[in-house]
Amino acid sequence: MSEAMIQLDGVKKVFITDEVETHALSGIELNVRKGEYVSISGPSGCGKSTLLAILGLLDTPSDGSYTLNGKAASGLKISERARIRNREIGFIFQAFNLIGDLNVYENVELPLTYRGMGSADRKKAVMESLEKVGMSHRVKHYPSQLSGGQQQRVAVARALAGNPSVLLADEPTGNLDSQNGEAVMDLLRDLHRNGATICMVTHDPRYAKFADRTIHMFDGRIVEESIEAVV
Amino acid sequence: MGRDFIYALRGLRRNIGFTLAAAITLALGIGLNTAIFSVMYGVLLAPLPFHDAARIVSVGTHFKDKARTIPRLTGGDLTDIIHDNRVFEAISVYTGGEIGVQLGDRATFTGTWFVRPEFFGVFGIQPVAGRLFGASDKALLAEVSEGFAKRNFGSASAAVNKAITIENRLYQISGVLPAGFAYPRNAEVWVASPVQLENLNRSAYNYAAVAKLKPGISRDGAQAEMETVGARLASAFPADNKAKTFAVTGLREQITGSIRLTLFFLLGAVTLVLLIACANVANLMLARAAPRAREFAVRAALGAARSRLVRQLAIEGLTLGLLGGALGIVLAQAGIDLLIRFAPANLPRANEVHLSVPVLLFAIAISLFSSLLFSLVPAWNAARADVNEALKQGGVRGVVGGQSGWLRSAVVVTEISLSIILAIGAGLLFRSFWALTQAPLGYRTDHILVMYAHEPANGLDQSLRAIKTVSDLYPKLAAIPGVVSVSAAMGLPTGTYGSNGMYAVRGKNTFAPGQDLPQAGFRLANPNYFGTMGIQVMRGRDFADTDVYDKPFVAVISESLARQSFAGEDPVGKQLQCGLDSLNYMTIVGVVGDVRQDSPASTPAPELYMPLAQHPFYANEVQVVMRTSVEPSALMDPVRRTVAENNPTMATKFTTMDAMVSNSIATPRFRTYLAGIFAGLAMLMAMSGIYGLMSYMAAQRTSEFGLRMALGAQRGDVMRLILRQTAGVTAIGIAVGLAASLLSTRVLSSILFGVQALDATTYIAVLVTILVVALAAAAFPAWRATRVDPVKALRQE
Repeated sequence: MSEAMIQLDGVKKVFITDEVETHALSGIELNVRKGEYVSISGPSGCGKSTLLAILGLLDTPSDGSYTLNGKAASGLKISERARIRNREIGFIFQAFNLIGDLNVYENVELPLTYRGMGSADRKKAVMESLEKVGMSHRVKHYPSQLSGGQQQRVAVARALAGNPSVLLADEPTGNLDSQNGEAVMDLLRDLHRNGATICMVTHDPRYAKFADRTIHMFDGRIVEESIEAVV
Repeated sequence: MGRDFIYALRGLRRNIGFTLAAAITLALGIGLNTAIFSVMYGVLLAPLPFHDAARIVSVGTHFKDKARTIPRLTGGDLTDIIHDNRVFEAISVYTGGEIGVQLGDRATFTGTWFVRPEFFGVFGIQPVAGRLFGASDKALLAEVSEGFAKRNFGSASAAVNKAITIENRLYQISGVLPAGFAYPRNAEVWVASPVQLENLNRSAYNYAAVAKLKPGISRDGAQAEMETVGARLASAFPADNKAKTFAVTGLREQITGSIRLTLFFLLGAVTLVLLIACANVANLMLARAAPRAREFAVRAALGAARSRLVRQLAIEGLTLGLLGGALGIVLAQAGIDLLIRFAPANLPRANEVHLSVPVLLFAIAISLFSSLLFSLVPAWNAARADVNEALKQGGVRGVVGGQSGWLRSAVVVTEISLSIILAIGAGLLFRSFWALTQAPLGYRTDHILVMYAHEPANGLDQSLRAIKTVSDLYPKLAAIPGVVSVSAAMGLPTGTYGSNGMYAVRGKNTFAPGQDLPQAGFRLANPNYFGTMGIQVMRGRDFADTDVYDKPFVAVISESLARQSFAGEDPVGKQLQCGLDSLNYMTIVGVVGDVRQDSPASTPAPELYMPLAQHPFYANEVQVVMRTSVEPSALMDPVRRTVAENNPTMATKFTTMDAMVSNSIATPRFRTYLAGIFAGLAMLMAMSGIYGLMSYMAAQRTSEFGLRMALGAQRGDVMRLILRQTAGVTAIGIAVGLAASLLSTRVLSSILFGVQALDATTYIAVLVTILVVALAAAAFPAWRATRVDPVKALRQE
């Protein structure tokens, strides 16, 4: 068995607004191995986005422990969390979240600039990443000049550019038509085949099937896990 | 870092509306500050353009009992200071002013100063042609300015050895001083003064002195030495010197002292404008940050540390600040031109005001400071944003609405408060200036043409002849169509001539040493002066043609002098004497109304009027006043021609009484107008801030308004909601601004006339205006909010 990339033990998340406590996550136990492709599904409000935010170090658990790539993620300073996000995690958002003022090249380059990587190394990484998603011919284009599918491919390239330990995708096809959605899913599958660890939130069962394992959530708990048959 | 700059530039280019609004706002603030600072630097801070300027000082008299220093000395004191000197490398007396200089068959008013040869050593000045006169020169020699030489002789070298006549004495030009050197005030001719001062008493402060400190002697050291000399003279001459000592003042401070407070006030005012501009730009950046919240969240998700996000915003701010700074410098250049054009004519060192390197460094510094200031709030806001929340689909509003709403309100409260401080300051200055223009002067100013006339004279006979020469002109001037009456004076209100001193009333006090005698202004006048000027003769008579040098001396006193020395008595027929030129007793023949002598701001003070014809040593330098039935300036040419035809050696220059009074309040007018402009600008900026805030607030609450309207709220209800919110923000701003104004406007007390620093009318007027402006700024967003379609608004939610 491969070693664990993600290890959650009894993770809880409680939101307190005014006098109301909302239990978004209630004792999550989760283990994602290196190179594994896990999809997380469930109805709206079940806690899957909260779980992904905790996995991406965008949020902190109220209780429980989180170990990422062998390192405890609890109690880290904000700057340390930013550093780990930059080096270990690649994000793919439903709304693409490309920066409108930056062109394709600069968008993909952005996380590398935060790493302090040299210009030549950055260029190499950016171009390799864009090659992988088939967008290397659009480096000078701005997001507004691209289709939704192309934007999401650029977003995937951005997530890949830093060679992260894990890719976190939050409804990556949510804003795409079925044809572009399929293309992005094919892209993720190819990345997985080449060894990428992927956690993807989706409520579309067609895309959940692409994953090795599907986790179903309800009311902040994992209620079911299913292993997909290897196609 | 460079990449961040490029991104910042690109972002600014893509948001051209925001960029222009912010850059123009900043440019106004930075431009105004740079323009005012350039005046301040050129006038107050820049070293004087003299060799070793820091060692040049003025020596004056300090009255210990009145805690007052004047830049003049008595002849006796100055002689002793020079004799005992151990701290000055060179020291020179100077006296003079604008008098007539005759060049062949014509005469011009020229800044002419009597100085000692050491004067040039003080300034380390060397002639561009000829030589400096020295102590060993026996001939009457003069130095002239390069401008004077070129104007009158064609070139500097051509002027050397040429002759000029001053007070009927022929002086040979020994050298020409370089262009730009014009000390003392507007000097163009420097004449060798006698080695022995004319008046050696210790009560007439007729001499100014300038000196250069010896190398290694500090100003404090020189001051200590002068106090030692002062103590010795106080002990030797207690009657005159017991309450005084001598003060050493840096020449720069002495030249610029009168304008210092005004410039500091103006710099304070433009600093407030800049702060308001920064607040406005901070608000614009906060508004821009709302749609960018997601961008910053994405950056944070991709690993940007908070410091990096702050740096990004700081660089954007810096880029914007430098852009605003560059535009501001362009504005400043135009502003400097305007400031100099409208500055009071007596603004010292005005020709040294320009965009110098230190001024440009100041502009860059305030651009950077502004960038820091207006970037701080948005950067802080961005750094503490909840990244996860912002990344959610609807997160933008959640983040920005919750955090920057109150921030923007706080920024607008700051703007309102600062505007109030500025508006109240401007309001007080306006009320003060208005009071100045309405103050009863005691004389008429309209339809009076003033001719400064200088007829050369030297000695009693020539002076008496000069009186006759000038008097002979009156009928000719009176014959010019449009001239109603003619007279003359030495000591016209708001004019440049005048004297003052002590007087003694026969039977009450004498000029014996140690007497504490009453003071008065000394004025000389011809018959019909009071009538021509509209000064009311309250009792007795005006001067008559028979009041001449060989007849019994007479005087007319002002009501204030009558109250001061003849309370409960009829002063007419009483006698007094003064130290103007002789101690002859003068019989009081009339009492006239009080006048505000120096300016409308001066308090009517005791005045002693004497006939010009009985004081000939002062009578060749007079102000001829002509009441006219037409616009007085229209008569300047005919009068000038008449004088030139009859007496070409008489120097003349013209003005009007209206212009003289106007000039006397040029400084308060200058600062009032500027403060008014700055306050107006501040209010406009505050208005735009309120408009922006209320538009933002209204947009934030669109769904709420839709819901309210769906539940039956009327449009008026929604409008009231917005206006109530505006009133709330404004009320806080008013409270803060009011408190700050109560503390800060006290510094204006010393320059206010006829109005108190806590003038309730001004405060109420400003507060009402601010409230109206605030509600007007909110009116459009409020109206727009009432147009919300409940269906669409709820769908957005």
